[in-house]
Amino acid sequence: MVFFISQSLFFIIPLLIVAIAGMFSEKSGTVNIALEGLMVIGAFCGTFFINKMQAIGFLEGAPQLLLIISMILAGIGGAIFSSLLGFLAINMRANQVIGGTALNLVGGALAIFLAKQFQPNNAVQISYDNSVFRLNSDFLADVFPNLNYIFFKQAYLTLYIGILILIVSTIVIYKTKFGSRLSACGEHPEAAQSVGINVYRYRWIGVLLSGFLGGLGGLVYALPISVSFEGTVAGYGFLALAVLIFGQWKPMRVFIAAIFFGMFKALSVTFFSFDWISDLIVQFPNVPFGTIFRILPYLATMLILALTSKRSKAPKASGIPFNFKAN
Amino acid sequence: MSNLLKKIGNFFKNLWAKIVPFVKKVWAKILPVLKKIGKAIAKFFSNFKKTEGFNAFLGAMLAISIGLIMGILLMWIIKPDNATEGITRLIKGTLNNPNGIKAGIGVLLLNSAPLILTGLSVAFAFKTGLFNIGASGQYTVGLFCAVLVGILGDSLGSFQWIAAVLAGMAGGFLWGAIPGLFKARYNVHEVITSIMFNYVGMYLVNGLLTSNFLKTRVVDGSNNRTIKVDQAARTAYGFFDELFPNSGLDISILIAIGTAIFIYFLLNKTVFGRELKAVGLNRHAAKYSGVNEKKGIFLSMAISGMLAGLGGALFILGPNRFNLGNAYAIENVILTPGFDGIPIALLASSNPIGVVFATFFVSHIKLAGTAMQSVGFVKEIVDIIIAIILYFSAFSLILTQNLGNIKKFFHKFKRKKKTQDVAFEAKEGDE
Repeated sequence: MVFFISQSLFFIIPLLIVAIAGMFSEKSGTVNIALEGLMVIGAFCGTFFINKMQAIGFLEGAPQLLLIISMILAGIGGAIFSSLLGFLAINMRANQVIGGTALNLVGGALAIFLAKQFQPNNAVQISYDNSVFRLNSDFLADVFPNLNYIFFKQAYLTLYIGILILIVSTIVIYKTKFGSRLSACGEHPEAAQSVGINVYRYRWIGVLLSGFLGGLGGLVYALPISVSFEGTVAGYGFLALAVLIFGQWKPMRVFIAAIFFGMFKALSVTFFSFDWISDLIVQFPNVPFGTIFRILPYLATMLILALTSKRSKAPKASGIPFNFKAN
Repeated sequence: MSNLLKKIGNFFKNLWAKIVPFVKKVWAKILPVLKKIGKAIAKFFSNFKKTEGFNAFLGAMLAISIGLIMGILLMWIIKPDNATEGITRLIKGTLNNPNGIKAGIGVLLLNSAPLILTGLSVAFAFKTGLFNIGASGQYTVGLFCAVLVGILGDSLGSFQWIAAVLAGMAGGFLWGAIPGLFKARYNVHEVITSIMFNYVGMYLVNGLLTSNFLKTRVVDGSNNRTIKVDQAARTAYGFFDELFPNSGLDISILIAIGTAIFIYFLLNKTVFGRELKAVGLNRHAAKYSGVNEKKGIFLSMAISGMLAGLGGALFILGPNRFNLGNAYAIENVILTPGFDGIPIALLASSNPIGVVFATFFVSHIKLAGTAMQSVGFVKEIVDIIIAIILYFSAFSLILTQNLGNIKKFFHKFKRKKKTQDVAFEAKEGDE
C-alpha cells in the first residue's frame, strides 16, 4: 500500500500540473489540445539538460538546484513551443483543435529528431540518473515511517512544487484581478473588450502560462518513472485534458480528479504488489490482468466523462477565435 | 501526258472549289460551338478560381511549399556538407528506388493504399463535423481482426480473404462506433474518447495476442510478431506484378481508390451523405429539418472507423514483395498510419478524391525520408515536414481567401494599433 501511494504520487503530480496548464489556456479562451506535445518538448529540454550536466558533473553537490534549473528550462521550452499555438489560435484565428494536433505531431517528431541529432550513435534515449534527485530525508522517520517513506524519502521536490502550483493558481484564478480578467476573456471576450481589457494579450498570457506549466509537467512526468526519456509521454497530455474536463475547470476539483486518475494509472504498474490481486492472478491464470489494469484508467476516464459531460461548465468562448475588427 | 496533267489539275481545281465552300459552311457552324466551348472553359476556370475547391488547392500548395522550404532549411542547417544530396533525395522521393522508376511507383502505390483509407476515415468524419483522431486505434483493431481470420480461418477456403477483409472492417466499425455512441448519447467530445480508444485498442490487441490462447497460434515467439497470414487470405497481385515488378504492389490500391470514389458518391449524391453533411454544417438546423442528428453522428464515426479498419486489414493481408507477407510487431506503440490520415485529410480539404492525391504526396516524401537516412539525415525530418504542413494547412485556407487583401493587410496592420487605441479611448470615455 505504501509503495502504491508513493507510486501514485508520481502520476498524480504531473497530471495535476498539466491539467492546470490546460486550465489557464482554456480559461482565457484557447483550447489547448497540444498538451501532449508541450509535455514532450518540456521533458526533452529538461532531460537533455540533466543528461549533459550530469555528464560534466555540473552542480553535483546540489542536485535539487540542478532539478529546479532544468524544470525552469523545461517550462521555457514549453512556453516557446506554445507560442506556435498562440499565433495560430489567437492571431490567425485558425481551427485550434487541428493546430493543436499539428503541434502534438511536431513535438513528438522534433524531440526524437533533436535527440538523434545531438546524441552519439543517433540514440533516441536520453538517459539520466534520477536517484540523486530523491529527497532522501529522514524527517519523521522515527514516528511515522510510512509517511516518511511516501513524502520525504522516495519523494522528489516536484511533489511540493506541484502542490505549490495548485495553491498559487487557485489564488490567481479566484482572488486576483488578473485571474478574473483571464476568465472574462474565456467566458465573454466581447464583454471583456468593452470594458477595456486587451483580449489578445490575456489570451496570449494564458497560452504562454499553459506552455510553461505543460513543459514543466512533462519533465515532472518523465523524471521519476524511468531512467531515460524516449520522446513520448504515452498519451499523458490527453489524460490531463480529460482530468481537466472531469475537474470542471476548477483547480481544487482538478486536483481531486488527478488523484482519481493517478491512482488508476499507478494501479497499472503496481497491481502485483497487492496481495489480493496476486491471489487472483494465481487463481485465474487465464485472465489477462496486466491488460485489464492497463486499459482501466482510459475506460474509467470515458465512463466518468460520460457521466459529467451533460452538465459541463466549460468556459463559454473556449475554442472560438476572437476577432477584434468584428466588434 | 500534258492532257492527263491538265485533267488531274482540273479535277483538283473542281474539288478545291467544292471543298472550300463546304469547309466554310462547316467552319461557320463549328465556330460558334468552339467559341462556346472556349467561353465555357474560360468560365469554368474563372468560376473555379472563385470556388472553395480552388482556394483549398491553393492553400494546400502553400502549406506544402512552406513545409518543404522549412524542411530544406533545417537540413541545410544541421548538415551543410550533405545537404545537396539530402535535398535531392527529398525531392526525388519515389524515384530513389534502386530498382528503377517502375518499382518506385509500385512501392509508392503499395504504401499509399492503407494511408488513403485512414485519410478517408479522417476526411469522412470531418464532413460530419467530427474530428476522428482515433483512426490509429481503429486501424489496429481492424488489422487484428483481419489477422485472426487470416490465420485461424482455414476452413473458409477461397473465401478467407474476403472474410478477413470484412472482419477488419467490422473491427474498425466497432472501434469507431463506441466514441460515436459516447458523442451522440452523452455528448463526450469525440477527440478525447477516440484518443482514449487508441490506447485501449492498442493495449487490448497486444494483451489478446499475448494471451494463452492466441500466443501459440498467432504469434511468432522468436521475434514477438504475428505470423504471416495464410496464402488464401493474401490479397491478389492482379496484373500489378507485371506492371510494376519488384515492388510487391497488389490490388489493394484499386480497392482504396475505389473506396475513395464510392465515398465521394456517398457524400455528394445520396440522401444519407447529404444528411451527414447537413449535420456537420449545422447540427441544430439539421435536427430542425428532420434529420436524426444523433444517428448521423454515430454512423459517421462508425463508418469512419470502418474505413480505417479496412486500411489495417489491407496492410496486413498484403503479400508484399516476393509474397513474404506483412506482420504486426507487438509493441506498446501507437501505429502511425492513423495519425498520417490527419494531414492527408486536411491537405485534401476532406475531399475524398483529393485524399488520393494528398496520400501520394505524403507517401512520396515518406519514401524520401527512408532514402535520406543513408546520407546521414534521420527520417524524422520528414515527420517534422508533414507536421509543419499540417500546422500551416490549419490556417492556409484563411490566407488564400484573403490573397487579394494582402496589400491592404500591411496597411491595416499599421493602422490597427491606432484604431485600437482610439476604440479604447472612446469606450473609456463612455464610461
